[in-house]
Amino acid sequence: MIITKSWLSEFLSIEDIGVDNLCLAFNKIGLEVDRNIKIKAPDGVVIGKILECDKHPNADKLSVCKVDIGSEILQIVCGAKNVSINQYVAIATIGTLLPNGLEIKPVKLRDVDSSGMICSLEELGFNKIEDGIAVLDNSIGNLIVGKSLNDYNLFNDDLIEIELTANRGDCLSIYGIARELSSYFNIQLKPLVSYEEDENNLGIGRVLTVSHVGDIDSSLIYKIINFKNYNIPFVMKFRISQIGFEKISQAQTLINYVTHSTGVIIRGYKFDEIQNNSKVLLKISKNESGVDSIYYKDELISMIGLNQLKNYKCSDLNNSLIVFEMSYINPEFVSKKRFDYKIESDEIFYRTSRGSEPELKIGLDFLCNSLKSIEGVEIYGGTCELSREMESSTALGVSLSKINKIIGFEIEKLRVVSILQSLQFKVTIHSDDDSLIIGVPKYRHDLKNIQDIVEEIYRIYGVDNIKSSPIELIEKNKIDSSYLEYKKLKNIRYKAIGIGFYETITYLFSSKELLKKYQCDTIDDKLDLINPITHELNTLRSTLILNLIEAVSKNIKLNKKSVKFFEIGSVYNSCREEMKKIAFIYSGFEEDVSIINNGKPESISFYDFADKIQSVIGKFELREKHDMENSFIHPYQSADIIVNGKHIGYISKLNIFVQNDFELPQTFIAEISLDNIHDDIKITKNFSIYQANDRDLSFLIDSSMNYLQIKNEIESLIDNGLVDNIKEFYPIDIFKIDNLKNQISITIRFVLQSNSKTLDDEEINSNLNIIVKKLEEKFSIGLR
Amino acid sequence: MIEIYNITNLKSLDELRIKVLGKKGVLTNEFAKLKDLNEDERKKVAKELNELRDEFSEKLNLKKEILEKKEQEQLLQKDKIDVTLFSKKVELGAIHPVNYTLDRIVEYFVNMNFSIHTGPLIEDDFHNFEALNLPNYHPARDMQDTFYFKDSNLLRTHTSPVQIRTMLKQKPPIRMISPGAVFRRDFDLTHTPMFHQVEALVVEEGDKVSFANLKYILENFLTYMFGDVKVRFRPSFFPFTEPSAEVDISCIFCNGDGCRVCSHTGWLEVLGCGLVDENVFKAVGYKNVSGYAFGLGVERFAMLIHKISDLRSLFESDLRLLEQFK
Ligand SMILES: [Zn+2]
Repeated sequence: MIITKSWLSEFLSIEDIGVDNLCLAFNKIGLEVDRNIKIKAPDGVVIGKILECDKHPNADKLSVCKVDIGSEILQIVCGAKNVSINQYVAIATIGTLLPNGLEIKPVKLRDVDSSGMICSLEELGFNKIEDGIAVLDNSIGNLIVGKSLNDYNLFNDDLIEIELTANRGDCLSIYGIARELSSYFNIQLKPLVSYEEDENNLGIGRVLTVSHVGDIDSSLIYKIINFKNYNIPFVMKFRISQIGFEKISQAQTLINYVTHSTGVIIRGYKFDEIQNNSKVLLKISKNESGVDSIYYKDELISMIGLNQLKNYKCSDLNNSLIVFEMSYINPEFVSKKRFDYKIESDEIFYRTSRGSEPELKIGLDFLCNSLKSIEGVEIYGGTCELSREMESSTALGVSLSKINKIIGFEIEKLRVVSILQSLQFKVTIHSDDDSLIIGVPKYRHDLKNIQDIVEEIYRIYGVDNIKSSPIELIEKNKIDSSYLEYKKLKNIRYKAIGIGFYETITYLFSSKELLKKYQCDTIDDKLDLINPITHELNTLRSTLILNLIEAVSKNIKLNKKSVKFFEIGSVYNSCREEMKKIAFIYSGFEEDVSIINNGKPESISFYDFADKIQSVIGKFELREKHDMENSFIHPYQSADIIVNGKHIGYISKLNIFVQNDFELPQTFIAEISLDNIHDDIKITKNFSIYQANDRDLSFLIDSSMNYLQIKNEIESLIDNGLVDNIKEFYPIDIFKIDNLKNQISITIRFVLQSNSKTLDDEEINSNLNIIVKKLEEKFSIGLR
Repeated sequence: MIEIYNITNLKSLDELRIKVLGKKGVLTNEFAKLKDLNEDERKKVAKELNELRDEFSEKLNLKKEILEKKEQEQLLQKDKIDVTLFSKKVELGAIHPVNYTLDRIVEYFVNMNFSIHTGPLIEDDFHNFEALNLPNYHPARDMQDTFYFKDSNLLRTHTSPVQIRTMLKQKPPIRMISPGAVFRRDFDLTHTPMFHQVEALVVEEGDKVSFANLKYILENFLTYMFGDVKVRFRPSFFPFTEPSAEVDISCIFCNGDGCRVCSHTGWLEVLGCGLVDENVFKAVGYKNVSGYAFGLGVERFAMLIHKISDLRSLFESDLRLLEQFK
């Protein structure tokens, strides 16, 4: 909503209030100021009157003008097509600096002296209204030649744009804003002038009859005006351009001006029939969607508050009888209808859905007063009016003590009453001294309950004046599952950054085509997004890995040698079920080049990567992978991650082909479901005070075997008590033997320790022998 | 005696000790000769020899100590490095600035006895709009560009549906925050299709909760987040609160004098708040309760606090930005 100070001044005397104070007031009462700019014509530009205007002797497109600027008469050469004698125009005198940087100097144009410039609005730094020079009229004030242009309020003004919230339709007009300021500054609104009918004028009944069928939900007033030779006053055109309208018709300029000034919705119709002096018959009834509609010769020509058929919309005013229609309809009603029946609406709906001015007479008076006693304009006497039974304005009963409870701060009764009265509410104090009956004006359709009334009081009283106070609490334990979940994730995140991973956040979205290309799950088409933001983000991700690969790729292109990311986030399967996952990606060298690695950082192995993941999410077991859920996974260097017997994710070297697609160095990935990672409380065991012994045994095994089989066998021996004092065992070396095909050597370290004594060699060897024997029996493998 | 001075290592020192004090040492020999002398002479010579032996031993021990120290020093010296070569970057990763800010916010509210609630990112119309006093024809809906799915579900546009879900499950008192990702169909310099919010809700029986309470916690919270700033409340409108306000802090870049960041107003808008609208309570079946709610954008906080100028950079996984949070 754009307002200017000069425009506001037509409804409220605010000339003495500085623009900073105005903005402060707006912000305080809940009308947020978006921008505030000074509108000022440059110094040195004065009003001039063109006394003579002749063709330039040497140039067809130029005119030579004699211009009276009071102190002298200037000769100015002008190139505008619309220049003509007797016009009042803006003259930039010698020495004037225009906003575009041009300084006015005496010049010769095709051998004719020119001392000054007749300006267009753009040259003065204003919005364009029409081609050519600005032709002024006395709508800007008394035209005095030689008077500085910026001595007129219109050309020395402040423009303020307010970001209105959706509930404040009543502030969608200069009048509405003035009403608000009037209660804030406690200044009376200037009285609105009623239009007085001229009894000599022709009556509306000669040319128009309006009838209705059934009940209607809107209020309507019709007025007819005959335009013969009417020029839109300069001030109207200028202001309409200030509020952002460009190249609109005469009729639209007049209508928008009245609506922006008063908030009343106005439409203009033009019927050929009327022009021929026959009578027009308009019928109003509800259409099939239940919206009040205007019918002309059984044709629907407009729906109140929603739209209007182009055929009968007026554009030019002159030589026409125009039917003006002022209307009001309940905003909630019209919004519901529009939504329920998917009715198309035009620019009017922005206002009608937020609540336009219900007092139609304000608009009617404003329109007629702008046109009365102007030559070439004939206002027909009388109106056609239709209105539904307007319910008397809302009355709310509220208790003062309740108001103070809601605010949490005592505001005196007198202050409350005076605030409400300044907002044009009718306030009656009940005999019990605590209850107020508040009559809400019709234009505040948004006020329905005591909380709404509180809002009115506190915004005028000033939120800053309310003293803040803490709430008294009853102790309550807030450590619940979601708090523990939050702590668990936080713990994991901090562990991950401790070993060099960067946390990242990527969009929940992915490209369906890319997901499909890499054989990832995708959301069923029937469940997918209707309105994605771009094609590259046209579905929800089913994996975090694709986004992480893209993230790495960007950084590698920026010449990073080592990129490590993790992300915690939601992913979606084909049924669009949400799953929370954590994913890791490790690309390139272990670290950057530095003195520590002698300039030769190392690549990491699958085992290094797995070890890092383990140090973040806790102990797990790896099992050889059989089904590959996507083609990021390397079929020969990948594993399922198992915790407590449950499959919780996978870990893999990035498939070399994907690596090439994204031009990455060697990369490892892991994606793990968060549901099965637990931050268990650790239970300690007694630890032995006796010496532990290490024994390394090397076995020759078939290369088709994996370590897990051996591990399981040894564990079952331990679990069944067939061997004891084995504290732990783990592989420490593995290598291929050159002369033995398909055989590899694996060295396992056994740590033996007793809780009750120092073990001797015999005891150690007997335990190990049992293991060797069992492995030989089971897998036919022996010591090397 | 003089020989002691010339000795430079422990081994030769020990050899000298044996040469003098050993079983066949020079001094030992002299002591052995004592028995051949008469008593007077023996006494005199014995005294001289004792003094000589004591002096020798003392010198020897002193020298030994010096040599031992020297030897240790030489051993340690072998380890000498140029410590100033140290230039390696910290091998730590870093928490993402949005989550770092979120953690700080959560920490405040947990300490103020709020509980944390989370909910699904895919929501239905009822929880995201309808129950929040945003019926489908409401003009405020135009402001929220919503991502819709073909089965008419949607990506939540705020975390408020979590509050609705909590109120439907629990009875008052409620004192909760709902942090998480939200989605709006908007992508330009100052908008990303995904961002993060923390919304808070407090509900008590009766008329216990007032606007003054809301004002208190927000003033306290904003000082915790931004330091010594002024806090200003501007009346505003949200469909789910009444009365509503937008909250500004004095600009942390110019201390309120006016600069480019605050559009020369001296103020920065940081959150929205209000008392919960009775229609919201109606939608979840609460009667005779009072409450407040507020919501903030985590990215906005992170950008202001860490002086990050481009919102979109927060979602670009760019190490040039993220490395600065080590
Ligand atoms: Zn600033």
